[in-house]
Amino acid sequence: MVSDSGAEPTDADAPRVGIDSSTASGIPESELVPRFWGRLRVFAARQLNDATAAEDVAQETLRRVGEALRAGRVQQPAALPGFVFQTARHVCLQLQRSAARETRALTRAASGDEPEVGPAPAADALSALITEERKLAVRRALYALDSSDGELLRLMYFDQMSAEQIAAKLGSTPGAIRVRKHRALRRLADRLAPTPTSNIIATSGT
Amino acid sequence: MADQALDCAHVDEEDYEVRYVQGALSAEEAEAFEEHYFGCDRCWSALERALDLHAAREEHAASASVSATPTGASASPPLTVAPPGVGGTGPTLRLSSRSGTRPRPWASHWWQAAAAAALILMVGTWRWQRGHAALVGPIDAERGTAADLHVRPSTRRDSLGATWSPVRGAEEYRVRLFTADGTLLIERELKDTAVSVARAAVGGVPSGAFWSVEAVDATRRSLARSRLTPAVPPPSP
Repeated sequence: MVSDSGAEPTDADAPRVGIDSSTASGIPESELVPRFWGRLRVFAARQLNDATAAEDVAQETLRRVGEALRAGRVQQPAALPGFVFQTARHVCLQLQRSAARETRALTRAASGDEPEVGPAPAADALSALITEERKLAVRRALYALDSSDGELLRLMYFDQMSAEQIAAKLGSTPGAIRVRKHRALRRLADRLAPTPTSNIIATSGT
Repeated sequence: MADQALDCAHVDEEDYEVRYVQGALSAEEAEAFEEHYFGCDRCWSALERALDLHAAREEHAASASVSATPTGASASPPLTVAPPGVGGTGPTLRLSSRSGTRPRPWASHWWQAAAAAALILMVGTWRWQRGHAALVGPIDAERGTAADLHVRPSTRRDSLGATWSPVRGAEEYRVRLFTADGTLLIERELKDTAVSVARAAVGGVPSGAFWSVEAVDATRRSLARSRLTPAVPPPSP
């Protein structure tokens, strides 16, 4: 199980059930990238507000989780997502602390004063994760949808209206709007290439 | 760590994935959602679509703002008239006269002639524009955003319609009907250069409604955009 303290899970935290001969755990390591690469980059991009640093976090997290799997520290498949999440949190915290220390040191060296360390500005690093090609494909797919589907998704995602607001506007109920949204999203996904991880791109080129 | 684990029903009811990409969740909510989508393929899939649409929205907004730039505004940088002694990239208009030179008696007459020429030019331009507007009709007076995309409203008893001039290279036309307060009533993507909407579909007769037409090419780039054109033309005097 994962630790509640926020620190990276340790041997004592991870339950040991059914040791696999190939990785000393029951979880194949090859699952990690297709399953968690996109999640890790989105998570880290929001935490750090930096799409490039998000890739570093994703790589470092997968490296640590891979090591843990080989060492048999995670042995229950159900515990893997939580373990990956906590490891990613830990890596992000380390990066943030390191960056804060660096800023403080540089500021002290420059002026002798202690800087004010505040939260990162709420810029949108998430959009930077999506390739230009993907954005274009999404726009084409969106406008190729049935007009009612397209209108609903545009109201929700472009105009940032809630299901309640859209329901009031279209004379419907929020529940019905959510059902329509799911159907519209499924039809949008059908029109988009099935790229479960490749739509989240590598920005550093490594 | 989040205090309470989320479930899919709650994520769905509260539109977590939409609010997450918009940055509208509290820190606790965002963290709970993150922990949830690491282990939930369904919600991760919904978040992927939300990210796609959010990024496409940014692109859409950017292209809209570019297309809203007045024609010719970005073609060349404005000329800068810098005062003497102030650095700048534009040409400098120096007002000081050369010292030590003989006064020129015709100088004051030269300025008068220039002022008269400017006045004649302004009057001529005004008269030409006035005559031209009378020839091409009232729609041309709305020219400004895109000189080559003119919308002509057409109204019938049970429908509102509009036609517009074709734009070279346009793959489709994005047609929108707004109320006077800017609320979007309908939006259509058409290959044709005409649209007709039943009045019942837009809540009867939206007085003060406006058409907006945008021409886009095959890559969805905006080529031209019309001015907002009244859907119901004002009655002739």
